[in-house]
Amino acid sequence: MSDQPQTPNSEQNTQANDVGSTTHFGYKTVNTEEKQGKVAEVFHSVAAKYDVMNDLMSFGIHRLWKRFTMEFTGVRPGNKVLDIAGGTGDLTMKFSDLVGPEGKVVLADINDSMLKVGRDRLIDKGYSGNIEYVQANAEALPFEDNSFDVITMAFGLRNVTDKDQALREFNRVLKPGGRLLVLEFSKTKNPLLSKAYDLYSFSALPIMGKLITNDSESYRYLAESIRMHPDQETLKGMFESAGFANCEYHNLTGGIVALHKGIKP
Amino acid sequence: MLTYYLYAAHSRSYLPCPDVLGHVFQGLVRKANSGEIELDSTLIQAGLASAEAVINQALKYDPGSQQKMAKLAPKVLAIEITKPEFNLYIRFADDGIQLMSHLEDQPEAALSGELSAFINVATGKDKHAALMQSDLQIRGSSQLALSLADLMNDLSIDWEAMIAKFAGPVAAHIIGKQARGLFGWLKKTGEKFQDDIISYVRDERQMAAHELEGEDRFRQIHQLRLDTERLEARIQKLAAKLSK
Repeated sequence: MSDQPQTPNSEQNTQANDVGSTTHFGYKTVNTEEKQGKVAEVFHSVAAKYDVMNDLMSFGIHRLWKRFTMEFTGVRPGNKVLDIAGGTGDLTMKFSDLVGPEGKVVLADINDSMLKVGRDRLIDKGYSGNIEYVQANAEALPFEDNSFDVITMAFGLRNVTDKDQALREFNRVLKPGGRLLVLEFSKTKNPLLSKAYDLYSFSALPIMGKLITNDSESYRYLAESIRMHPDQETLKGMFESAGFANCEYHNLTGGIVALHKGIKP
Repeated sequence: MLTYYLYAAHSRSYLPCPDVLGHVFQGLVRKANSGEIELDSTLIQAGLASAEAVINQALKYDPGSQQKMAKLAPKVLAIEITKPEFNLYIRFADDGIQLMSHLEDQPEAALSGELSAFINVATGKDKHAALMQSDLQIRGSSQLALSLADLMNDLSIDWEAMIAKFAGPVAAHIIGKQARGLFGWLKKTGEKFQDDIISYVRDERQMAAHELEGEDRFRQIHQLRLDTERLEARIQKLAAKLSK
């Protein structure tokens, strides 16, 4: 196992993920079996102040990205929705209002600390009844085939070890005609914005992490994991390989974030 | 030379506009429609989120309108502006409205037309009548669009209660009284100013045609258009006969 930081290579970045004996954890190369545990440690550490940090790091813009995502879900009253890697429940809250008492929203996350924070937050805000909480791994979902009308994953896919397997699982549990929406950090083509973004990610984020949560390493992993995530066209290709049709993506904030959409035929 | 005439809705007089402004405006519209100017979706969402928050906050101080709006839930009204091209979707909810830039499903109703037509309806005294008389096209449930117009007519936001939340009831009443006086004076002054400008431009400088002259001219143009179309149809009929 190598713990040496790895400089990102633009060719490597276009690869979907390194499935096999090793994979990437930020810029580090780790054994595939270890990545899940390392990601779990990161999110156990950040769970308590996750929402505060999201607002600070993105200046509140993450709310606008999620708002944009909601416009593409087409959720109606009575629908069944899966919010995977839903964490602290931002999207789940909105879905709960839209699906109504006859619908259902499943807030699923592999990390129980994040799930607990999400559940407590939703209950404190008065959300209950049509929300179910499930600890689940996106690569092996504990749901039957053709269960959900909509699946959303916001800022979670880059943490998944085997992204192709996760996408195939999403396809399996979606109903025919169902939508998958993945909101994730992506690649900007604007060189000026890219430079500013790199400077902000690798300088400001770890400092913020240190000051607020006393954990700069987790936020360094955040910045590195974004750089190792596939770009827009690569992820679109992964959607198609997993069996999704009408795949498209929409860039937000100059391409720093992208919303990917696919439909199960 | 191109000359753009501004149609003053209240006075129905015709004013010439400087050419440079017209060129600039036309250029901006052309660029927006051709995609040269493209707003990031994040910025659009920021605008929509702000407008939505303001509207929903104001609606809290008009419970009657809020209840009427809740009856329209969860229908969606599409606002399709053709010039400049922009689509806005209004979803009615139990506690207010949601503004969206994109809709996956079909809306229950759609209003389409130019931005100026929407502004005329929004600023009209009787919005229901303004909507019926406007150039806006309604698709789907016209009842939904008319319900919204009626709702806007009956909107009665208790601004004093809103101010009282921050400043207390006594201060809110004093501020409200001063504001009403100021708005009344501004409205009267604005109307007087408009009448004076129209009178100056039309009667003293004779730069604009009178309403009746303009209507007469447009009637002549409309008649000429009809005659031309009839002539064209006759020529085509004759040409078809000759070719046989």
